[in-house]
Amino acid sequence: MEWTNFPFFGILSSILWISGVIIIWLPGGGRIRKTFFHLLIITGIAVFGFFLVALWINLGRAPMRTLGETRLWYAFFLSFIGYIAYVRWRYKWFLSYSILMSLVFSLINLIYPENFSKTLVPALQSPWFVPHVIVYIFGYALLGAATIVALKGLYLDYFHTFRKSIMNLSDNLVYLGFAFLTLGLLFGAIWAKEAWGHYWTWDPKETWAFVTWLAYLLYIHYRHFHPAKVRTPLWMLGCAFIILLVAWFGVNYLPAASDSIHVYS
Amino acid sequence: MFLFSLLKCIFKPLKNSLHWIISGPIYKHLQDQIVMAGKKKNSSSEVVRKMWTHPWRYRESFLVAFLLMFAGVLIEMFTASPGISVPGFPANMFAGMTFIATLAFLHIFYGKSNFVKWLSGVPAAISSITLFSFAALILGLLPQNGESGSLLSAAGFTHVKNSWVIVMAQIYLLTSLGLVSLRRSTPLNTKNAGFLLNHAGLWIVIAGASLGTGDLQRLKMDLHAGETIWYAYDNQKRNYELPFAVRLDSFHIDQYPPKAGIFDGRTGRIAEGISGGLPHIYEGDMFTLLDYRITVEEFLPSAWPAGDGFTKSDETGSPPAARVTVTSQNGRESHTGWLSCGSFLVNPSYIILDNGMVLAMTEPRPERYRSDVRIYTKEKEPRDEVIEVNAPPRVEGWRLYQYSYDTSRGRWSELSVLEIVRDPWLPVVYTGIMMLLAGALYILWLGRGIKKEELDDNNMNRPLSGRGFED
Ligand code: HEM
Repeated sequence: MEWTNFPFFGILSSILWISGVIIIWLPGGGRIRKTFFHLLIITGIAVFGFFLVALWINLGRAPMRTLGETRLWYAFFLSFIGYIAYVRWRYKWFLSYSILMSLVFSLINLIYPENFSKTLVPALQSPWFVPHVIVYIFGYALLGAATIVALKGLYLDYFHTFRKSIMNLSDNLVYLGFAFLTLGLLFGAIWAKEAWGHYWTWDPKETWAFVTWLAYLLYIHYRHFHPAKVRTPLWMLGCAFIILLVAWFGVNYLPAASDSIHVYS
Repeated sequence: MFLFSLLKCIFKPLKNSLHWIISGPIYKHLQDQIVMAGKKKNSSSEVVRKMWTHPWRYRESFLVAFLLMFAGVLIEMFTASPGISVPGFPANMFAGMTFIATLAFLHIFYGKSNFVKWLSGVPAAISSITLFSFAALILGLLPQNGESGSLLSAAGFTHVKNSWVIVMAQIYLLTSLGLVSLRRSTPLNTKNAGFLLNHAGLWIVIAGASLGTGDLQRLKMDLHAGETIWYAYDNQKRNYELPFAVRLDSFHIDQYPPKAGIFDGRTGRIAEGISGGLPHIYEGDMFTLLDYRITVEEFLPSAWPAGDGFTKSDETGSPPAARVTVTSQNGRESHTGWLSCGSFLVNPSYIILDNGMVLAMTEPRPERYRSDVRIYTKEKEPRDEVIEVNAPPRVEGWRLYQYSYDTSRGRWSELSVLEIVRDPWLPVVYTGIMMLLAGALYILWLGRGIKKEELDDNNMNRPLSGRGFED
């Protein structure tokens, strides 16, 4: 399994996911149709997951080294989270948007195929590498999902049809996402101590990851203090996600990053 | 209990003098002077609130944050040296203890005062986190080269790490965080324990890391094969004697197999149209690049030029070499020859194709750096250690990291540069990190603590009112 196989698996998953989403939006609902829906989405996630595992085995290293590789995990986790949230809370729109985001990230990878390489520089050969990246990308996916909820919330708010359950969903996603972000940050710090001599050097990537963390911290505290407020925290989520994207992709292009050790190769 | 009365004894005189500051004339003066214009909001039921009347909320909190930042910039501008440097042991420890004592004092004697209530409340927390984020954002946006001369550098924005602005931000954050931690330390039930893991944990990490910079030492050691070295140097090339000595026995680089690539002979860049990365060279392998089929007839990981080709060799500076056959898909073109990436002693060799393209071997990528060393200490027997990336051994409170080598000689480097780090505050920071890890697990376990029914739209579809920043 190599990157060159991605179009096949990526497109197959996309078709399965899109069909699943179309099915839940069709009017009426029978048992067979429901089973069919679950089958399509699960198969889509499984196909994508299979590609990831096979790529991992073939490369002989965790496929988490490049930006494109992290996008794969993001697409995978986001569809997974969307599906779980649907099973748990029956949010059709949430599933649809998560799938849409997964498709966008897969599409980016289709348009810009990655250079595959089996090599892993010595600093990345650490037991912390896989947990650090997995936990981070899972946190990013949860917070991406929270952003979808925030956009929906702002939309509903604009048309005066806001429901409190929206806030509860976004709070839950942010709490989970934030906990994963914390784990990722700390794993990174412990790893940095082993690999580079110090746990924190204010490297641009670290700095932006830290600011992202603080932005979600602000949301959590603001929500705790003002449980009835809606618009401000939703905007906070939007801004926090922009900072998250800078931490993930944007750092490579910042003037401050010219000497970063973390810029993806 | 004993501790408590002891603390009271020590703090009593302090308390009286501090009382003046907290509820004394200056404060009253401020309260009278600054009058808030009142809210422009629609609701007529809202009372006009004077600024600086308790309880303080966002307006006061953010003003405090801004004033602190402003003070930081001013101090930065009017002190001679750029930024501050944290003092070493024991001054940093005393500073930390004084800070903790002050917080404890405030908590014990003024825990019920409006001022402390505000400082340990959410508006102060939010404004202090915002100020800290602001400082970190500047750090992440502007290059931190420490250059001087510009207005930005005078304000400390080109060396945020050790600027007065970040000191102010940290003091504000740690005060707020410390006071809320103390407030929530009683009663110590499950909820408060979870709270403390996160808040006290973060306090310990930030305070420990900041004060710890005063004792953090990061030095370099140049080891030449066979020499015993007992000193290291810092960024300014000042030498420091060490409580141990290191002798480099040998330095190794394990490499991944080299790769084959087709390059544009004029630009030297990789030929257009090659996607998906370059193939590694293994003996007997066959692969296609552009329109060429390439067969690896023979691969020597370490070889020396001999006649038209290469032979196996273990000499210093022997590069890898491979005998390959290249055939174009249409069969019109076919070459057999040797590829080698060369070394500091051997020229590279490559095969020139018909259209100005060149088939060449890339430099192998490093897989492992390793220094075999012998370590001598005053008390113990000498011992042999292997120093690798991600596996730094510990010696006498120092950790030894593989840092660099003589890149011009590559695999045959006779020099290994170590970075050696001493960080006596690490246990403090790791205690905080462990607490934060546990706190994150606590959040994962409990989530927001919302019950299932509440999430159901049908129970909760009342539209909400009350939006905006202030209550
Ligand atoms: C690891 C980082 C942090 C986490 C995970 C966190 C989490 C929380 C949570 C979940 C709550 C509300 C739940 C409860 O009351 O038990 C809370 C409350 C609060 N937090 Fe944090 N927080 C963090 C950092 C901070 C920081 C940096 C500050 C201040 C500078 C702060 C100040 C406060 C305050 C004042 C409250 C209100 C507590 C009360 O009124 O009893 N927190 N925090």
